[in-house]
Amino acid sequence: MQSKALKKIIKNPTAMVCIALLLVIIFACTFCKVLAPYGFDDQELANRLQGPSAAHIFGTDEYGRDVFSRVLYGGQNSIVIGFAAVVLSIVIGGTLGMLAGYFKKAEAIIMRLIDIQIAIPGILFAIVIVATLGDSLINVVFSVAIFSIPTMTRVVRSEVLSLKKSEFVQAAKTYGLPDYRIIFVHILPNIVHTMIVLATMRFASSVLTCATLSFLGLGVKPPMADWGSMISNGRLYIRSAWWLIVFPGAALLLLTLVVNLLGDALRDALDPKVQ
Amino acid sequence: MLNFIIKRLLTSILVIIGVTIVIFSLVHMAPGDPVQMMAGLDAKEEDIEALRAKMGMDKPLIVQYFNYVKGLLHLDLGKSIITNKNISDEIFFRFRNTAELAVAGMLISSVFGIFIGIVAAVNRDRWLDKTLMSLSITGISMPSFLLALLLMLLLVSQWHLLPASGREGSPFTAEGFKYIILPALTLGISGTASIARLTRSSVVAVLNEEFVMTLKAKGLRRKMILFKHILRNASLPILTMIGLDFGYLLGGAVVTETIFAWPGIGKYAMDAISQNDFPAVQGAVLILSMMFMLINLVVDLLYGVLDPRVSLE
Repeated sequence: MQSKALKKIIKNPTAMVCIALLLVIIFACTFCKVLAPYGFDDQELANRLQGPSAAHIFGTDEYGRDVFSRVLYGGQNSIVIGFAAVVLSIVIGGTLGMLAGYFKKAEAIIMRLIDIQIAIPGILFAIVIVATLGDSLINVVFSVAIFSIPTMTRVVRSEVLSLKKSEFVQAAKTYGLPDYRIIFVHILPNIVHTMIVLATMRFASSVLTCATLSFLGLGVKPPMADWGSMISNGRLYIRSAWWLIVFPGAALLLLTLVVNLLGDALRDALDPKVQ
Repeated sequence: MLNFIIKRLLTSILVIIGVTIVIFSLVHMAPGDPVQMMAGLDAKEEDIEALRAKMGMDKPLIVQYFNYVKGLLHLDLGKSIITNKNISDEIFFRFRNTAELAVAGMLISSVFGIFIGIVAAVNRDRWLDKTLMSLSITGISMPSFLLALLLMLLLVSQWHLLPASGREGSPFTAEGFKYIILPALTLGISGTASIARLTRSSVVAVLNEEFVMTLKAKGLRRKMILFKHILRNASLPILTMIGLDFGYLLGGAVVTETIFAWPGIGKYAMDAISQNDFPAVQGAVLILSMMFMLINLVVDLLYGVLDPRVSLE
């Protein structure tokens, strides 16, 4: 089953191109200290707002900082925050979903809590959390993760609900296995593929949420580079310096597009049920 | 049906109570003393305490919460600590602007989304389908603020076709209409992409069903099959998506309204956040959440109308 899925992915040219691009992006952003021609805060005021050239392939910003280097550094932040947020949402959402699916009593409470969270428009919730609790890295990650928790919980719960009725779980129960063993040894391995697909998709939306927060001035603080805040700065020079918006924007779009396409391919290969 | 509505309304009320608790607690965890802010930085200690007592902010949190809820029942959302105006008036005044924008965005996304989805499904696996679906996944991956700025860059800075931001009069006039185009497009395009993808997959699923084959064998015209039989069967998930999307538009409007200086509830919330005007934030979030829940309730009720098989009990 698993090797069949792997073969399907290897045969899918879009998926392979996406994996290659994703690896290049992750590599470039992880080693930005080595690869970037300039530091993220190296100012050359004499060269401010210069268009793309051989020395600065993506041009320079209002402080004469190299946009290409800042795009690389910014990518590092986006990837780290997006990844941390997805992991957090898997841990919280996955646990809640499994509890809600497995224990009937927990279900009512957990699903009402999720209802409350869904009722508050996601991005607004994230903004309020960061605005009231402060914009430390942990709060940013938490507020981005909270965006994905309801989806995670709902999907995991419905998977567990259907698995609970299956014969092997019933057999394990009759056998007298404790609940935690049934959950971790018998149910969890069967929902891992769903969670992988979902996590991939949520990674893209986490990167977007994080960029939106910093675009609004909440989140990663200057002079640290971040795609959202770079684009927000570029707004001031929209008439004269298009490269300030277009390059970080293209980087952001490329990353989310590649991840979304990969998510689609993974879903086709692993799990046709998840929408 | 009536039972279902009552049950849904009761759960909605529970959820709203939950929302007020969450928002109230968050806002009270915020740093800074709102009373001090209202009184001004150079206010005397006893004046601040007097104001605190007058506002009821010296009482325990739980008492404050109940007073807040009591106010809500009288449609009173409290007063802004910056402008000292009634928040409910301010929000009511902006409600129309937000609704205009959300409806315009939803019209764009549902009309184009359903159309593109059908075209893609009918031409499934041909180049047209592939092109449309690549475009729509790009639309989904595009953050709304980036889309907004790219539209501004082209239509405003380069081609000088439209005004950059603001709202000038009703969008039903020629002048006012120009102002709503950019924010509505920004809101509409991302929704178009997700609705197009879902419409395509729902229509494709129905296309494969046996009754469609039977209709074809009976010699019904293709258009007739498509519009009368396939679309009706594919409409449930699409409707859910449009409902969810509308809620998303309300929340996403925070970003769009801020960028285009559209004077709606989202921009009000964002301004309030940047001024640490937490009672106003609290009010705006509550109203946006209630609008979202109301829309989902309507979508649930429409289910029964569209598909008699769905039992609402």
